[in-house]
Amino acid sequence: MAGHENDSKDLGFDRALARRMVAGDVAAWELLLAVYGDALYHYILCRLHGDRATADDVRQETLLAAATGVSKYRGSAPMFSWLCGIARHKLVDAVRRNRQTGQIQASIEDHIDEALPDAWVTLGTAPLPEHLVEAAETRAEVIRALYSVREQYRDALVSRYVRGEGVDEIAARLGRTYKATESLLSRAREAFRRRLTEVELLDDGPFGTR
Amino acid sequence: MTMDHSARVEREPDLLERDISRLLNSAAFSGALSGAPGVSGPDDQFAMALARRAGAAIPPDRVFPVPALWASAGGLAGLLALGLRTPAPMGGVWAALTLAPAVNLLAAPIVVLAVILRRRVFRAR
Repeated sequence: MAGHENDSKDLGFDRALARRMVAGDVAAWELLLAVYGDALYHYILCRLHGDRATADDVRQETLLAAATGVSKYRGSAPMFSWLCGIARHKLVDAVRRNRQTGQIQASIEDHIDEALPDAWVTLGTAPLPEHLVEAAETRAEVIRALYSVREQYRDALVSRYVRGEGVDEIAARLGRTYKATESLLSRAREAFRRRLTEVELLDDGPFGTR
Repeated sequence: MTMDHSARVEREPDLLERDISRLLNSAAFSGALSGAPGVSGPDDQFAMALARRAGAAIPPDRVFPVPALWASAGGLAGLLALGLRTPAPMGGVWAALTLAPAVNLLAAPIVVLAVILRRRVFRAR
């Protein structure tokens, strides 16, 4: 039940944004691009093992498909996961169009790595193997999960674990107590872990929000 | 004061924290988390194109109320004009009014019905 409550809070921004996007609100689309545009590009780029030209095309196709299908977004999954679901289908289309680019094909097939979902389930109880941490597909899934949690959690996680800020530094910046910041980080870690395990959600289809 | 100070001694990260840190730093290496721009060029034009496409893709049930009201009113007016045996040019105006919002499916059968009735009325004369 608590999970559902958290989901509901996490998805509040996405649901409100989607309502405005459906109505053709330009500012809402600008906001979508500002919040998720670059992350979507990097998600696609990881899947393409650094093929920037194709990543640009796939990102554009993904967003155009999102514009056509945004009325089908029901808000039961994070907006960014939904976009990644569409992107995966567009990646397959790109591969079909460009068969000679064998690397693209390999990247997508690699993603269906059975080790990854298992690793997410045991995250925190067994150390992740180094090759899995460094895999491009893992990076893509990390980006997906990170942009699927609410912004406050995302900022806290990046501040603490990427920029290496201390808990007291984050607390001072957010105007919170030390304890409250620790609690925020704990909730952020849990939300991130939960989003990582939702990888199979993406297989629901291009508009995987069922 | 002493308690407050001791609370700020950071504990050792557990396994989950260490692995999350490894994962995030690996992803950060790709440039995704450092605010590195993904695409070249401004996105504002693209946002406008996306908004237009989204607006155009609104399913019929969402755009129903206002155009459907106009279509129904137009259709009703056309039928009324026929019923009142309006002269032919006026009937054309009503038909045009009915056809204008005929994009809406609701209007189409009314238009067809109006045309059929109109022909019959004139034949009967």
